[in-house]
Order: sequence, then structure tokens, then C-alpha cells
Amino acid sequence: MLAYVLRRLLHSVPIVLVGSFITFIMVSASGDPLGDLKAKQPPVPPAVLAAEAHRMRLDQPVLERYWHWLTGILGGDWGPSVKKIDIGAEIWPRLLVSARLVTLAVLLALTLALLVGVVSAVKRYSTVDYVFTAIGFLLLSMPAFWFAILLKQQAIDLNQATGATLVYTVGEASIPPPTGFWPTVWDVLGHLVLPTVVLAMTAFAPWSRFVRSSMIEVQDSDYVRLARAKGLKRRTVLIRHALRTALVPLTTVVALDLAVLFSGAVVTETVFQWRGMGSFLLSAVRDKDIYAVMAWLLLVSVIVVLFNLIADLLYAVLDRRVRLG
Amino acid sequence: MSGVVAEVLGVRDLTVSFPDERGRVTAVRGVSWSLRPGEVLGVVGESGCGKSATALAVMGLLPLGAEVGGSVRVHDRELLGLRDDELAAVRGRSVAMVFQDSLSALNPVYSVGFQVAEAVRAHHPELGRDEAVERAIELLEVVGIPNARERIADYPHEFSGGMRQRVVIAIAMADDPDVIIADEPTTALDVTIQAQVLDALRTAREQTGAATVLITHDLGVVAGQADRVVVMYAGKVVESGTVEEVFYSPRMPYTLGLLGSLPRLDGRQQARLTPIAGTPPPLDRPITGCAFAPRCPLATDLCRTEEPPLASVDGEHLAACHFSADLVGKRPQDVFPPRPAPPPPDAPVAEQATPIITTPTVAAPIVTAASLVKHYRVRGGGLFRRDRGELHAVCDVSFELSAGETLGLVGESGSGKSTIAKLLMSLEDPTGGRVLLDGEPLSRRGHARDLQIVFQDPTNSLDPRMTAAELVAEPLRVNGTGRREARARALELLRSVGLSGARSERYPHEFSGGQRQRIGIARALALRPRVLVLDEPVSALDVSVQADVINLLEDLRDALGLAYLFIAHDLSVVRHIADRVAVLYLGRVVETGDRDAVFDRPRHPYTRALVSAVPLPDPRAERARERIVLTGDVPSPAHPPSGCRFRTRCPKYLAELTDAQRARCSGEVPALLGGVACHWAEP
Amino acid sequence: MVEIAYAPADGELSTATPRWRLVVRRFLRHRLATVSLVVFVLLVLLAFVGGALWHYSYDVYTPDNSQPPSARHPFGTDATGYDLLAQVLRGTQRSVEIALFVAAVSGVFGSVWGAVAGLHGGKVDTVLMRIADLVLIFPAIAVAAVLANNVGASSQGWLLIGLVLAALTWPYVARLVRGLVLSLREREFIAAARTFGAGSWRIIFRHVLPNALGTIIVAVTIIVAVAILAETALSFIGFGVRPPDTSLGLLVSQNQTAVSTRPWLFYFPGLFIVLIALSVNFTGDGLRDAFDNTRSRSRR
Repeated sequence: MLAYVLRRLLHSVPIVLVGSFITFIMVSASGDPLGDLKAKQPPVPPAVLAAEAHRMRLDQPVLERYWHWLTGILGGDWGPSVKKIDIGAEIWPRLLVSARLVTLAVLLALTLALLVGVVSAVKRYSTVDYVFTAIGFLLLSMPAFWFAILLKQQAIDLNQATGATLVYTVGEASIPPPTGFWPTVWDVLGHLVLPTVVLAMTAFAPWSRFVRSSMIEVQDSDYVRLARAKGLKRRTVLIRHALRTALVPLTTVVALDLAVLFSGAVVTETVFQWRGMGSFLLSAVRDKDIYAVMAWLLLVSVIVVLFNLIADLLYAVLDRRVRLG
Repeated sequence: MSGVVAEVLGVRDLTVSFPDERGRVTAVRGVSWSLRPGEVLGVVGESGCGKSATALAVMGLLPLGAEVGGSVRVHDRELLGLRDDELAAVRGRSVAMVFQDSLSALNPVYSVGFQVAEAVRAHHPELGRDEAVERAIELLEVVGIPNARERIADYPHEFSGGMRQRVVIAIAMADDPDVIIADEPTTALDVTIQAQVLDALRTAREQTGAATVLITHDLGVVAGQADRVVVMYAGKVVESGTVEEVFYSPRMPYTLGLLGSLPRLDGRQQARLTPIAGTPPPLDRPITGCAFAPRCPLATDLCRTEEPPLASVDGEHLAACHFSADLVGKRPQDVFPPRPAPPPPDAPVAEQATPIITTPTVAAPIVTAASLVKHYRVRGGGLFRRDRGELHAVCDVSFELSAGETLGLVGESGSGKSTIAKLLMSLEDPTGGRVLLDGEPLSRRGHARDLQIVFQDPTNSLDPRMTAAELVAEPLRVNGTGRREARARALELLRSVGLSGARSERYPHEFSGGQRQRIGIARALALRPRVLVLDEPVSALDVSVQADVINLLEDLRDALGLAYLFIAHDLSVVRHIADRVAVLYLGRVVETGDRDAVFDRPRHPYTRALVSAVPLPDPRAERARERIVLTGDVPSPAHPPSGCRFRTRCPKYLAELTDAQRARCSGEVPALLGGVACHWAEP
Repeated sequence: MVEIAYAPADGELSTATPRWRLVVRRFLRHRLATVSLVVFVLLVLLAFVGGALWHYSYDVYTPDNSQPPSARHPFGTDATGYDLLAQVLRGTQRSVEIALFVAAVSGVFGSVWGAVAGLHGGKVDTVLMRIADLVLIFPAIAVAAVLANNVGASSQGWLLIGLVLAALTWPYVARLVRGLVLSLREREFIAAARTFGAGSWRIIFRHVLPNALGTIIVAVTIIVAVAILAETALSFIGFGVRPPDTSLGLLVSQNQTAVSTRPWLFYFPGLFIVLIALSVNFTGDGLRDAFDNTRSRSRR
């Protein structure tokens, strides 16, 4: 097992390195960070431009810049910003904000997907199954931003109708934040409700379909038949043999969809005007703040790789056949 | 079928139907039989006859959407219509089941011990975890798992096929059932392993006192194991009685045909098999009259309009045939006339009167395999996945093949026989040695015409997107023949394997298994090869169809003077078709020679065990036979034993030899001398 | 396996049916999928033909501002007087164009990539699939925003947006096709073709591709739906299609504040997105069943 963990870990290192290089080249080539400065009227003096170019390390050869950037990050320096912000200081709190959204959405989506997937598989081709299937397809075909605005409007109407703020529709927390631990938690949760629902729904649809089809496959398998032939109760067979085995490949699916969830988070946060990773990315791209964009991409891709690694290890724990391969 | 005889399990008028794309398929159309205490009831029939569906219906384990009618009674308690939780109390406790495919029957994510202990606790929740595990170890020891205590934490994939099947048997025994239903328990296993598993099943029977339903397509297994037999055809019982009655005086043409189409290892049969023409009827529409009538040479209008009842022909010997009285004393060849051989390709009809007969003895070899060696690399699972060594698939194999001659290559899984086929076809490059064609080293271009192959599974070896005519024309098209000419020749070839013009535009899935294999043979013949490599060409087919294909192969060989390399694990088939035989074990030839010599007077201990393990479809002979049951599994080809590779399972090595003699076995590779590679071969 | 008595399709009894007709027949039996395909085709026709015939253009002001739906303006107008029907039709046209372009590019590119990886195996396979996996570790919308930032405004912007989205979706096709080719490669009919001397190209085009086609078509169909949603999301956050051109995502974005006051401005473009994606997804589901004969067993 240890050898397997180390081997998977070693596999991840080159992925992250190549990923960081691609990130660097892609973002560097995507635009001139001094574009806005150069376009200014009246024109900025060349000396100022040169100094800014030097500050942004644009006077260095590409490979050197890459090396400089990568080693800088290991030392905690995320590179210079066009807007002269401290990228590291700015991005971490925002990552926490987005992470709690994504985490909660994953948990909600997983719970619902398991429930709905199992019920659909057990009662396949029944009315319940068809209703769930229809909902799944609808969610699969609904743009998250449109759904988010719709939900937000409903919440605003509800709040107005009741004259109280039942759920928050703007921001990730109240400004200024309430004092005390529990009020803070309550406030954060109130802000989380709508975005979590939106994000969870986008992931729920494909996952519930996946659970359904793998449950159906497993239910028709010989080992489930043997488990029933032993005289085990239906529920025991369903949970211990069918669900447990069907869950194994789900780990990979969830980990792989993490990048998709971050995409969804960007859109969702935009609708609910969160100050999370979404708005950080969008303003960085708009400002051509290349090191900020790189920081975002690197951070998120490392998280995705990390969770894929965890999923791989989980898979190996859940299914012993893997380690041989 | 009166209620006088005590029965533990009774099936009455059972019907089972499944939803299908085109409507409903009625897989079981009114089946009745009863199982008496302590007996073994064999249920035989070809694939699709409804034998497995019957078993699943008894267990209440049919897939969703299946409809069941009739009655299933265990100790006079009706099972049909019970709720699932009520059935759960019956399953495992009253009726236990052993499934065919032990790899898929065990859950891959739980240890073997857990799965056996789970069966123990299913009806004894009061047992603690440790007690259940202790009982599981006991059960595993009973069915013959060595070091059971150490192995309970292992997972199914760490067990061999034979070992896994024993685990499944242990699970069936767990709660001392009254009935064990074994559904094709040995079908996927090698013969020597089959013998072990049948022993384990017998042990299970003796320990639990359970009556057993043994479902199988293998008449040999039934002959050796069963007390009574039920023969099924197209979802119905067509004959039942004691094994002796059914095997020695069958009263239903289907049973007779089945016995006649079976090649026998003891060679006691006519030169030609008597296949049953046609295929079983589709079950998605009602059948009028006798379901076997379209294939029955005796059928009259009565058979086609009125279904014969299953009636007594002699006491408890029942048969469903209007003319069962006419079958007394008939041999298969009396009823089933041999089909005339279709005209061979190339030979115009006029010239066909004098078939070319070649004498194998004088001909120079077409193909020579000279010291063939094939190793595969195996990667380890460690940190750096170093090469873990090599898998020795084929080790120093030599043989010659002449025109008109058939060399049978037999061996169990891991013997390297399929690798040899690939080496011959240049699908793999040999690690050492070479293949010579007319004495010249093989080149790709040259061999394409002279050497062709027929694969085991015609479903897999025919491109599903091409019609029969396109499939057969493909080799010609690849080799530059024009479209029209290739097509004309393809139609001619299809005719020569018995597939007439109208069917040539159909796709593989529209043919039955036997017909698909005919297409495969026609395709192999397209380039007018001199040698056909037949890699298990009939093992995926039902016996009645298998006989038909074997006959076709014999006709083609005789008419075209082809040389066959016939690769098979079924010794009976090889005995029937081959002139010479080479027996492989772990990549080495252990014995070779004339087929009668090898099968009647085997000299190598492995050949002796192999021959003795093959069941004969002859109850008395089968029961009287002395059987050599090998212990253990075939070692992994990645770590073959030193010296003689067979020594780890060799009864002689393990029981008869002295230590000094053994040292020679482990130290020195026995050379193939006088046709046998054993230091202590039988004279 | 349960030995279910499917009588072997008897050559003597069944009639010859070309495979594609079987597929069409199975697809038509899936009623929802058939309806969906019709809906999708009608939507596309409406967008391309109807947009050209409609007497208002998407980029010409009408004298009516903020009109609710009426006979004159079936979808109403926005605050500046644009006719929303004209805009929605134009947006549909753009979104469908981009989605089809994405599906075509990533379908072809992904198939070739996956097929090469699967057929070659070994080191080539490892390297090619590592590259494909690499694309998947980045959130698509972020990469798309970065890459499309400079191109969206240009006249051929929609093509470039399509290219960017294709660059992010092809790995899904590649992974699928590779898996398929790996399993096809083990099938004996490929080995059979080699034994009678068929070359690599003949094997690919005569044996592998025809057998993989069904799966590829299904995958490409799903990509159409994915691309519609991705393009609209990208346009929504401001990095996709830009004014004066328009797309459904941009329309939702521009009109999101109107959701409570002039809801038609928000609902119509959104409903069009849902309708397109839904019809494509159902069509894909029907195609999957039609191509895969093992799945449609107990569905009626």
C-alpha cells in the first residue's frame, strides 16, 4: 500500500509541474499586462513603462520568468500584480470563501445523488424513476447562472413577502460581520444556502445518473445474486453489496468533476456577488493581471490534482484489485 | 409424478418469461420435475433451453420484469408468490445455489472469509463475528482450500478459478441446506480442476445430506454424477428418467441426437458424428406442435400440429414424443442421417466425384515449428514498477504439420496453446525459435495466403458491421482482388460451408453460433490456404451444433487436402478429429504421438491424469473408471517450477518416487524422448 | 450471467436488416428522443430562417421601449427598444453555431487523439492521455475566460470562442474513444484482419471506426449540449460573445436586473437555452439506446 501511495504521489508531481508551465505560457501569451497603461491618454512616459515592465519581469526571457515565478511561489511570493495588490494575501481568504461553497455543494450533491440514484435504480422504470430522470435531464440542461438568478429572485420575493431576511441573496457574509461565534456561523450559513443549492444542482444531475446506472449494473451482477442466494435481507444486500461496490467508481467521478465545480463556482459567485475566487479571477483577467490569473489557475489545479490523488487512494482502499494493476 | 414419492423440491408447470425488445420471450414453458431426498438430479440441455431460468425461478432470483407462473414447492411449502423477505428465509437455509462463474459470483471488494462468514450468519445472527469466521474456516477446509486460516483475509482475485468455485460451494454449504442447486458449476474450468470441484461438490453433498440439482450442458458430467436426468429443450422437459434409462435407451429423438453428436474420448463410436440439423426455435412467439419437430428427421404432420405430452414410456422414464415407441433400440445414426457434404470451394461439381485424398505419411511438412519460445514481460507493482521477470508462455515447442494431416494441440489454461496459434499467425513475434513454411522462414506476405486461422468465438472474430458476404470477401479485397470477383468468390465459399445465397447479405448477429462459425471458416478459406490453425473452433458452440461444424471441417480437410493445427482443451473433440496429438503443460510439450496411442496408452503422468479426468457420456463406464485427481492448481507461468514443470502436481513425484529420483525431477528438464517428456515415464 | 433464453436470431427466420435501419428504428421507438430531435431541428430552422424573415433585426432599434410581449413584439422589447424575438433568434443562431462548431472540432480531434492513443498503446498512449488529463485539471471557464478575453470582440470572435471551447472539451471525447478502441483492439476480428494482411489504415477505417461510430456520435451530441451551456456561461460572465453581436448567455446577462420588472427579457433567452440543451440531451439519450442494443432490453 505504501508503495502504491508513493507511486501515485510521484505521478502527481510531473502533472503539477507541466500544468504550471502550461498555465504560465498560456497566461503570458494571453495579453499584455501593460496594455491598459500603454493605451492611456496622455501617453505614459517610456521610463515609467520600462520600470513597470521591469517590475512585471517582462524584461526577462520566458523560461527565466517561469523559473523565477515558480521558485518565488515556493517561497510564498506569488509575483507582482498590475494592481499592485499582494496576490498571496488576497487569494487565500477568497479561496476559503469558495472552498466552503464547493465543499458544501459536493456534500449536498453527493447525498442527494446517492438517495435519488439508489431509489431510481431499485424502482427502475417506475413513475418515481421517470420523475427523477426528468428532473435530472432538466438540471443537466439548465444554465447555472439562469437558475441562480431565478432562485435569487424567488428569495428576494420571499424576503419581501415575509418582511424578514430569511436567506441572504448578496455576498458571502454580512458587512460588517456580526459579532460572536454563533451569529457569525449563522450569518455565513444564511449566505451559503442559495449558492450551495445552485452549485449542488449542477453536480447532482450527472452524479445521480451515474449512481443509478452503476447500481443497476451491480444489481444485475452475479455477486449480488449470490448475496441474495445466501439468504441475506434485501436491505443488507442493497447496502452492503450493491451500494458499496457501486460507490467505488463514484470516487473517481467526483474527483474528476471538481474542476467543473470550480467553473460552476465562478458563475454562481458572480450572480450572488461573492468576493470569492470567482470575482478574483474575473477582475484579474479583465485587468490582464497575469500573475494573479496564474496564481488562481495554479492553486485550483493543484487542488484538483490533490483530490484526484486522494480519490485514487480511496479507490485502492475500497477495491483491492487496483493495487495490482 | 405422483405424490407417493417423497420430494424435497417440486417444480410444477413452471413458466418464466422475460421482456425482450420484440415482446416477451417465454424461456420456460411449463416445466415439472421433482427432487427426492439425497439424490442428484441432472438437468441437461443446450444454451437457451431454460435450465438456468428454472433454477433462478426456484430461488426467486429472476431479474426485474420476469414473470413466473406454476408452482415451486420446498417440503410442500409453496415458494412462488412469497415476499422477498420470506424468500430470504428460505434461500441459503432450505435451498442454496452454486453459480457458474465464480469470478463474478464473489464480490470483488470483500475478503473471501467475510463472504463465507456472511453466509454463516445470514440465518444465525446470534453467532458472533469470530464464531462465524471459525465456521467459515471449517467450511473452506471441508471443500479443500489449503491453508484456509491464512487465506480467509485474501480477496477473490487472489484465488484461482477452481479455488473460487470451492469458496462458492462453501457458501452454499454454510447453512446446511436441504437442496443445493449447482448451475453449470464446472463449465469455465479445466478438466483437472473440474474433477477437483466435482469432488468438493460431492463432499458438500455428503456433509449436508442435501439433494442436488446439477444443471449442465455436459453429458459426461451428468453421467458420472447424477442419479436421474431431466433433458430440456426449448423451455420444456422432453425426457426424464434414471441416467441409465436416458443414456442407454433414450426415447426422445433430441436426446438420441444429443448423444450421437458427442465425440467420445474412449473412441467407442462411429467415424462420423450425427449432428442435429438446424437451431432451437425462437421463444418469442408461440410454438405449435413439438418444438423439436423442425429439426427432427422423424417428424410428421402430427408432430407439427400437436404437442406430445411428457408421458411414461417405461415406469418413471418419461418422454415427450409421439413416436417414442419407435425409438427402442435405435442408434443415433439410424435416426439422424448424415448430412451430405456441401460442394467444396474451387472444385467444380463435376469433378467432385473423386475427392482428393492425400496420404500424410509421405508428404513433406508444410509448417515446421522449430524450438518456439515466447516470453512476456511482467511488470511489478512496487514503487518503480520494475520488470518482475518474465512470463514463460511457450517454452521450446517443436512440431511438424503435413498436408491433409490434423495435429491436435491440447492443454489446459496457461499451457500456451493459444500463444502458439498467435506465433504461427505472426500475431506475436517469437522470443526464440522460428516457424518455417515449406522449409523457409515465415514472411508476412507469404503466410497470409498459406496459413489462415479460425478463432474460438465467432461472435468476437466477425466484424459486426459487415455482412456475411463482405466478411468473406474482406481477405480477398485486402489482397487486391476486385470488388465483383471477391464477391462472387465469397458467395461460392459461403455455399461451400452450407450458407446459401439469400443469407449472405445478413449481419453476424442474425446468424446462430454455428452459422457464424461457418462464416469464420469460409473467411479463413478465402485465400486458398494450405494450413488452417483452428483455435478452439467449436468450444463456444452447443454440442449438436459442434458436431455439425466438426463434420464440416473434416469434409473440407478431405476435399481440399488441408492441414489442420487443431487447438482445443476438449480432449474428446481432439480425439475425434486429430491424427496426431501434442499435450502441452505450462508451455512445454509433455507428450506427443499418434492419437490412439496417446489417449489409450498415455505415458506421461499429466496425460494420464488429463485423460482420466475427462468425463464420459456413459454412466456405467464413467462410474467404473479409476480417476487420477490432481492436487493443486497450475503454477503461474511467471514462476514455473524448476526441472520438470509438472512435478508440483505430479502424483508420481508426490507419492511414488524416492528422494533421489525426485532430485532429478527438480534439477533436470526432461527431454521429449520417444514422444514423452518424463524421467519416469510409463513404458 | 443469467442464461436468458434469447433464441439465437435464427438465420432462416429473421429478415435481413441493415444495422443503420435497426438503429433508426430503435431511436424512433424512444418517443421522447424523437420529439426532442424534431424540437431541436425546428429551433435551428427558426433561428436561421425565421431570424432572416422576421421584420425586426437584432441590431436595429424599434420605436418601442420596454414593451411586454404583444403581437407586434411576441417576446417584448428591452429598454433601448430592441425587439427581443429578433435578439433571441440571433442569439440562438450564434449559440447553436458555436455549439455545433465545438462539437465538430472536438469530436474529430478527440476521436483521432483517442484512437491513436488506443491503437498504439504503450508509451504513446500514456503520453497522449496524460496530455488529455492535463486539460481536465483546469476549470474550463477560467481557461476559456483567459483565452477568449482578447478575441471575443473581433468579428470572427464566435469562431475563436468555439475553438477555445473545443480545446477544453476534446479530452472527454478522446478518453471515451480511447477506452472504446482499447476494447475493440482486443476483439478477435481485428486480429483476424491482421492475419489476412490488412494494414493499419484499413483496420482503422474499415474495422475500428465503423464500430466506434455510434459511441462517437453520442459523445458529440452530448458535447453540443455541454458547449451551449459553456458558451452561454462564458458570455454571461462577459468573456464570450460581445455586443454588438449577441448570444443567449449575453442576453440573460444584460437582462438579469430586469427579472422582477420586465421578466420577459430574462425568461425568454433562458428558456431557449434550456430548450436547446434539453432537446439535445434527450436526443443523445435516444441515440445511446439506439446504438447500444444491450441497454434497451426492458425499456418500452
